[in-house]
Order: sequence, then C-alpha cells, then structure tokens
Amino acid sequence: MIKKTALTAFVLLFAVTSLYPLIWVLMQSLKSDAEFFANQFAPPADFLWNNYGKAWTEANFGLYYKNTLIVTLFGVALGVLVCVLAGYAFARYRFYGKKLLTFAFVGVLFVPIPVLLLPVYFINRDLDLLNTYAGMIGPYICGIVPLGVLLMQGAFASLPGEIAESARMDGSGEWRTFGQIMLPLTTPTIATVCILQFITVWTDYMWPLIANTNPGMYTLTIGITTMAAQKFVLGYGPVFAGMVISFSFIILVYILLQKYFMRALSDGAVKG
Amino acid sequence: MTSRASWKEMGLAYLMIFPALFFFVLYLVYPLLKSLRMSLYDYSGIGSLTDFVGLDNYAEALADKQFYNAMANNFALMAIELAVSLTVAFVLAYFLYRGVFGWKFFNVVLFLPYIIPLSVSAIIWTSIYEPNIGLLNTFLDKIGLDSWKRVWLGSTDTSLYSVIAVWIWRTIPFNMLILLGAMLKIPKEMIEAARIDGCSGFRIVRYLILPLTAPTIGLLFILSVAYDFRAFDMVWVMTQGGPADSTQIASTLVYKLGFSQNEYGYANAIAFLVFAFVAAVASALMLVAKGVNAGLNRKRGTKL
Repeated sequence: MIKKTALTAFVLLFAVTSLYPLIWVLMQSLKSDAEFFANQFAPPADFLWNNYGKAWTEANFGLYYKNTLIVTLFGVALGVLVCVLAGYAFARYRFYGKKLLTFAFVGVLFVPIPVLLLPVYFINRDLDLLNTYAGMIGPYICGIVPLGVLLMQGAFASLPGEIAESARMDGSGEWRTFGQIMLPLTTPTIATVCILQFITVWTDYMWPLIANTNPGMYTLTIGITTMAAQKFVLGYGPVFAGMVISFSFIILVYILLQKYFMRALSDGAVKG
Repeated sequence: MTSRASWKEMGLAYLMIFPALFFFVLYLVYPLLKSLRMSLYDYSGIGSLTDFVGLDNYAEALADKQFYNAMANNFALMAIELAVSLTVAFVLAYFLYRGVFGWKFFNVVLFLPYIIPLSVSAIIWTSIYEPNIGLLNTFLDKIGLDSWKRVWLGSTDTSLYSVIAVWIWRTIPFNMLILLGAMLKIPKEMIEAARIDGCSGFRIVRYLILPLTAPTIGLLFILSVAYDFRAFDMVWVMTQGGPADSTQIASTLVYKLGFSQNEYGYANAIAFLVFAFVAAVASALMLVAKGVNAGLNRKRGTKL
C-alpha cells in the first residue's frame, strides 16, 4: 500500500507537468490583462467569458473550424476508402508488382518531410490547386496510404479464407463478398485507420501552411499562430482563449474515444 | 496466374488499388523524383528547369556550415529526446504497470500533450518561456531563483534546449503508451514466478521486463529517427530556426532556403542529403535490432 502510494505520487508529479500548462492557459483565458500581469497563479477573480467571444469573432475561429472540419472530413473519408480497397486487393488477390509496392510502402516511412516539402508545393501550383480544399486533402490521402494499406491488408488477411469461399459458393459476386461480408468484419482496423488519419489531419500545421497563401483557407493550427502574433492588439486574454478554443475539440474527441485512440496509436506503431 | 479467372481477378485487384496508387504516385513518388531532378539544377522557382548544374548543389551543401549546423541540431534533438523521453516513459509505464491509484485518470491525463496539435503546444510553450511575463520566469521569481531566469527562446545558449524540452514533453506520452502495451503483454506468471523466487522489484525490471521490452524499445528508436527528422511545426512556430540559426533543424532549413530565399535547387539537394542520412541511420538501427532480437531468441531458445 505504501509502495502504491509512492508510485502514485511520482506519477502525479509527471501528470502535473503534462496538465499544468493547459490549466495555466485555461486560467489566463478568463482574466483581464491587468490581472494576468499581476498574478498568474491565482484563478481568475471574475470570469471574463467575453475573452472567448472576442477570440471567436476577432480571430475568425468560425472560419478556421469550418476549414479544418472540411479538410479532416474528406481527408479521413477518402483516405480510409482508398486504403480499404487497396488493402483488400493486397490481401485477397495475386497481381504483378505486389511485392514491389509492399516494399515501397514500408520504405517510405523513412522519407523525411524536407524532401517532399518543396515539390508538393510545386505540384499543387502547377495543377492550380493552391488555396483549394482539394490541394490540401490530396497529400493527406497519400499520407495515410502506406500505413493504411498495410494495416487493412493485415486485417483482411487474418480473416479465415472459408468465409469468402463459402460466400462465393452461395453465388455472391466479388464486390458483394467484399462489401457485405468481409468489410464489416474489419471494423476495428478501419476505426484504427480513421483515428490515425483524424489525428494527422486535424493537428497538421505544415501542409496547410504550404498549400495556401490565402488566409481564408487557413486551418485551426495556423489560425492560432496568426492570432498569437497579434497578442498586443487583441490582448492576452483573448489569445489564451484562442488557445483553449483550438485544443478543446480534439481533447473532447480524445476523451470520448480514449480506448480507441490508444489502440489505434499502438497498432499504428507496432504494425507499421 | 494464367487462367481466365485469375486475369479477371488481377484486373479487379488493379481496379481496387488504383485510387491508393494514384495518390501515392502523385504526392509521393512523383515529388521524390521531381525533388531529385530539381536538386541538379539552379532553380529560383519560376519557369522551367534550365540551369543544369550537375552535382554542384550537393558539393556546395557538403561544404556549407548551415547544413552541418542543422544536422547537428536535429541530431541533438533526436539523441536527447531518445535518452530522456524513453527513460521517463519507461519509468512511468512501469509504475502504471505495477499499479497506481487513479489508473484511469492518469492514463487520460498523461496522454494530453501528445493529442494537442503541435503548433498549439508551441504557442502555449512560447508564452510559458516568454521572458517578462511568461510562466517559467515568473515562477522562478516567485520561488527566489531569479538568477535562473533566462531569455529562454531568445538567446542562443538556451534556445535549442528549450525547444527540445517541449519535444520531450510531447513525445513521452507516446513512448509510454507503446512501452506499457509491451509490458502488459508479458505473461503475468513469469513475473509471479520471479517474485516467488525472491526477485526484488529492481531485479525484475533489469532481468525480466527490460529484456522482454527490448524489441519495443528498438522499434521506438527507429520511429524516433523517422519522426524527429520530420519535426517542423514546433520549431517553425516557436523560433523559425532562430536566433542566429541556433534552433535550425533539417526541415526548417529546407523551408527557409526554398520559400524565403528561393534557392529551390539547393534546398532540394540538402533535403536529399538528409534523406540519405536518415535512411542510413534507420537501416543501421534495424540491422542492430534484428541482431539483438536474434541473439535474445537464441538465448531463450524460443521465438516471441
């Protein structure tokens, strides 16, 4: 019992380092600037909810949330769709080039971002995709392909062959076997791929920064950095409120789906 | 593979992999080739590639102090992250594994730094490091350690370490999650048996848990190499590589050379050198990991 208490105390110490920065931001987000300068460690004397209203309108968070939602929605839906299709083909059919592609998918894990940074910008520019949702979403679909296909391949391959075989005997066509029989059996892996892609797209900063020159296309992650640069104009309180606005949604999603997040991240690391 | 049925199957297979392949080629294979080609030219970003310079960009990069500086910083980021983050993550994972009060609470809270977008974390930490009104200096003032106060991100002595500290803060949860997962897979009977034989907690960690999680630690090493050379958001938001290049890492250098100085050919040559370096380190690590695993399995006589 004493030992367990000691272990808990140690872990608590670390929990403070991960949690306190967020609590600190939360406290300042409800203060006036005068109060923030005077004392950072006390909870706000009276809660200035207006900071949130000001942050939301002045910094255009409505727009940033809209852009982020659109890009995430399509990035996840289309990314997962192409992975499921290809994963099924990889697991079930023989075709030329399968080995080569598998090798390529494993190899690209080590392509460092700097190599893709400039050419992807040029490709989007040449295709006239700068400042468009399509231009932002495309690279994300590509981003999940290697890991997503490998995960889905593993999921389909682990299903017993007899299931598909008996479906065929019953006269089910290839597409029906895939869509109505095999697909539902892989929902856990599909959820994993969805979550991995959701985290990547929602939290990304670099692609939206490169793919857009028009602030009207910025996502949350860029919006908050643009806003933070204006803290002397807007005041500290609203900027802190903006930070809370920009991390609260994903934390909420994470807490609701915590079990699935954990499984997705460990599967993504271990199987990838 | 020659009967009609399998030709039909193959057609179906190609149809199903086509969408994935389309995006993979458009945004990964093609950019890689484009980048390789660009690296052989002098290119300011406008018009077509005309000014072929062969390997000059590479030669220039290998003689460029900026390049070595960025690689050294990136390497420091990786080495310190691995040393500190993996150690702390291992200890935390072990404590959670042994059991603490409020397991569920800790499991959620300890993971928060990983789930927050990196650019938001960077903004939060920028305000914590702020020299006049930031949390860190105000706190040091309050507990009477004024002499420890620094211009954390603004002076070349501390900037790199301040950035690395945030990177560690952010990577601990992930490493912890993966290590805890590996520990939970260890058969409970093994630990019980060791305990009955009179093994102390420390010896159980040293002779049982550490060797059994070694493959996972190896995996985290390899993942860190890949991820740490992809770090961009955090550094770009906090310091943009400054002051005086003291926090410049591979990705921010390429971004700066490309988008701010319009030396796209040169920037791509540097990017490829980074690629070569990362690929070399990663494959070396994988070979070592394979060797270690093989050795472990031989000793144990079983394959895990």
